[in-house]
Amino acid sequence: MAPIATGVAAANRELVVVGVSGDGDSLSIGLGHLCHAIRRNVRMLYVIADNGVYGLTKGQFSASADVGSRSRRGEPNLLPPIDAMLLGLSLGATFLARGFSGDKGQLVPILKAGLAHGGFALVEVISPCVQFNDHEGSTKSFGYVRQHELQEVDADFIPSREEIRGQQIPGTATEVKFHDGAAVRFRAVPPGYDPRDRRAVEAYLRDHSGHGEIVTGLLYLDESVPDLHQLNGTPEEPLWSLPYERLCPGAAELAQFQARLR
Amino acid sequence: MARPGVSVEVKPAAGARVNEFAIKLANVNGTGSASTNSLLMQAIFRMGVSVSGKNLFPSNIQGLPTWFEIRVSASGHTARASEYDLMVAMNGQTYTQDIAEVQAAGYLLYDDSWPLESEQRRPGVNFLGVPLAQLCADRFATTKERTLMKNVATAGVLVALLGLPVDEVTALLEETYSRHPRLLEDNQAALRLGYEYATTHLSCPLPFHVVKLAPPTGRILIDGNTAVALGALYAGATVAAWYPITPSTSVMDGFSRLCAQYRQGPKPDAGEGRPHDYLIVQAEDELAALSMVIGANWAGARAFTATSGPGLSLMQELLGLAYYTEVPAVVVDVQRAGPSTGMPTRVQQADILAAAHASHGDTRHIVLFPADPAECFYFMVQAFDLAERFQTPVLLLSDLEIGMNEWEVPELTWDDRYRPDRGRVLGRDELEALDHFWRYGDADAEGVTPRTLPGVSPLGGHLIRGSGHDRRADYTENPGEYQEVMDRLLRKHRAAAPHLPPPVVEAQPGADIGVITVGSCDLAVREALELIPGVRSSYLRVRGYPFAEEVGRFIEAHRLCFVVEENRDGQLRSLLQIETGAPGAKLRSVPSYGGLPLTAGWVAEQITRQLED
Ligand SMILES: Cc1ncc(C[n+]2csc(CCOP(=O)(O)OP(=O)(O)O)c2C)c(N)n1
Ligand SMILES: [Mg+2]
Repeated sequence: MAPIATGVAAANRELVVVGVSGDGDSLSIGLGHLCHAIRRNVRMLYVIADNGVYGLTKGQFSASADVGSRSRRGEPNLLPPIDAMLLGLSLGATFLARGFSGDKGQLVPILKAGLAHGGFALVEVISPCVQFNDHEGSTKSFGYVRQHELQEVDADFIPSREEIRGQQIPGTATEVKFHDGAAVRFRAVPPGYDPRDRRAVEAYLRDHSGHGEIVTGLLYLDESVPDLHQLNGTPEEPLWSLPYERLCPGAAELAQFQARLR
Repeated sequence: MARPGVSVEVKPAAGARVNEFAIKLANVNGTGSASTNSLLMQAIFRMGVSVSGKNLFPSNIQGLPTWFEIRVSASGHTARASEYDLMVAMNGQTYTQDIAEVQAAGYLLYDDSWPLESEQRRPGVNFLGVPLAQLCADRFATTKERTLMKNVATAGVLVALLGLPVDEVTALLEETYSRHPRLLEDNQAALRLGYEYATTHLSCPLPFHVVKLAPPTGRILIDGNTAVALGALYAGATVAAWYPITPSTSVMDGFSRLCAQYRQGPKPDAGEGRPHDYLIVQAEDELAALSMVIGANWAGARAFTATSGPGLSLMQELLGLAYYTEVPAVVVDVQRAGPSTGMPTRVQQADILAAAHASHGDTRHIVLFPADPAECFYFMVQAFDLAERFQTPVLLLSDLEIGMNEWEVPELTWDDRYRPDRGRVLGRDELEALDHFWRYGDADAEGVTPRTLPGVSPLGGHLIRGSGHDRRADYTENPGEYQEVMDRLLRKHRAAAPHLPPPVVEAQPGADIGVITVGSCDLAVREALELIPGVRSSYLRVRGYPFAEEVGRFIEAHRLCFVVEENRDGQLRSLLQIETGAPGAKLRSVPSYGGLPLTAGWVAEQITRQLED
């Protein structure tokens, strides 16, 4: 899905591009594609609905399943998981967030912030699979996530056109502005959590996942990186809309070009 | 420079042969012989004589043997030659093989800085020794220069032997190295070294040589991959995505260069740079490359990718997606030899079936088969029109021989009145005038339904899906609804046939033998027909799939048809049989699959033998 979205974004930079996929798609068969879309900083919102299993094919472990997590039939997963957030950090992702499908209050502002981001916004949504992965022993069940979630990084999304109202967050609040004037304001629960400090964020995530905790929230943000179009120096107008007359050099130039081929 | 004791063994010219000969240069890969090869080609081309060059090179970067074959033909036959009048034997590794390929009474040029052993000589062959390494060692300081310049000195010898005007070749060097004075000086010096040695020590020119004709007006030398890139530029492609693979890489290299030249650069008035009116992505694999092309086409841009066999294999699922969701896409496949990695630098036409029915399920595509760089250019432009008109992938099946060799073709022409055929795309106003928009409803006579571009109007909004869908683009598993779409797709594919480049037919009145071929086999097959005495045969070259009706009629009109193609399994023959319903016994396969370009002699022999059976 990521490269199709990349093509869409390449052709029409005015579109809002949203990709929704599973953990099987994103972390196995499409893992390479996800990695490279992150590297290219394609401007899009990419959502992984992460249930730790291949739901559609009836419950095989996916690459996000935790070691020791049990399938519905009771078999343990033996392979180490791929953590989409840590992966993103190592690839130079510019927007990383994790939410929980059971917590709309937190997820909605995250998704809005992702849409406003000037590059590739990766949002992993822990989405327990009620059919194949919501049982005792699973680390992606509603119960498990509710117990182990650490809502460490709280974010308020402030759309550009709305006035920044109330909600003054005391002390450690950090505001990061998006290109279109919207802003995200982080309220870091642990003292000193800075979502713009890649190394610190990585250390923090590693530390907590080591304890079986699921850190949610807007975890990392960097608005300074050029996106696919900026990197390629394309015009403001979408490529698809450029008039043909501007694209075709014409007969006279073709003759000129061929003068060198004689 | 002459060393004492160098014997000159040129036999007197038996009878001059003008503008009709073949030479072969045997070299070691990675020693910089390529630029000398094109220099010679271009020098001969400028004499107004028909010339072709075939580069036979290994797939590694350094050390393996490489050959360059030049055929000069007053009669205009420029398929690969099978015997050589002159062998330039500069590779000890292949010497035994090389000397065997010299015609009886032919010539062999060698570097006699190391004199030949007597057992290295072949009776009847004329040996021309030139101390090339020695000459270059005296003149150039570094090993690297000596290696590179030895090629140019060899070219100097050949200029003398083949009777090429040395001043014009010097002028060619000036054009090539105008911006590198140091290199120019070295090249000119090396050329003179070889030239002067040859004119003083050998009897020049050889009995076969070049005589200048009228200058080649209206003709150019170009390789197929550059021509494809030009086609993409002129078609107005703005997005390209690819994953490097031999022999297609120079398509995107060419497109990048052309875009840098024609789609960006300083504005004439202002000083600052103009934006890039294109976006080329070097993708992570061919799945991604074609996905990007599909995404970009879906969003309304003209987008393409270029690949070769292994890449085409990876693109299978995406080709099915584009076919079934009806998204345009242009895929260039520069065919190389073999299953799997095969022989990356050898030629075959072995992706014909894979291209025609690429992907699982009932899938069929539009395929175009160019035979030379000129057709690469025109077909590439047409590929975009067809892809958009029929909302489907179009595969341009070139091959290594076309793509990576320079061919002499008529100058490419362009009609400035050309405008892209964007097919049935509904805009905002048209959508407002409709009472409903169904993505896969309202088919026209050719089975094409209107599409909309994202972001234009919510009235055109819909979800496209690779899963089963009905005419509204809604999910379905209903047999009737599913079949309705599939039947229309088949109608649409058939309807495309008359819009593709028609087959080239040369009918001989009264001929009961037909010869059918495709792509770069063209030249060798035509020449072969002249070599088969007493057989009246008609000729047909397929240029598009689905086949035009004429193809079926041609087969019907002949008692027997030979299908000449470069693959083991007779892929074109199979496709012809399936699509035209012709009886199998009527279609005889003439398969060449060793990986080297076809020669007329081989084709003639195969056909003659089968006719005798
Ligand atoms: C190329 C290919 N291989 C296999 C499948 C079969 N398949 C369908 S969905 C799926 C797994 C999806 O897992 P995930 O992305 O986690 O989605 P979920 O069903 O859990 O939401 C697989 C393997 C397919 N559709 N395509
Ligand atoms: Mg899943």
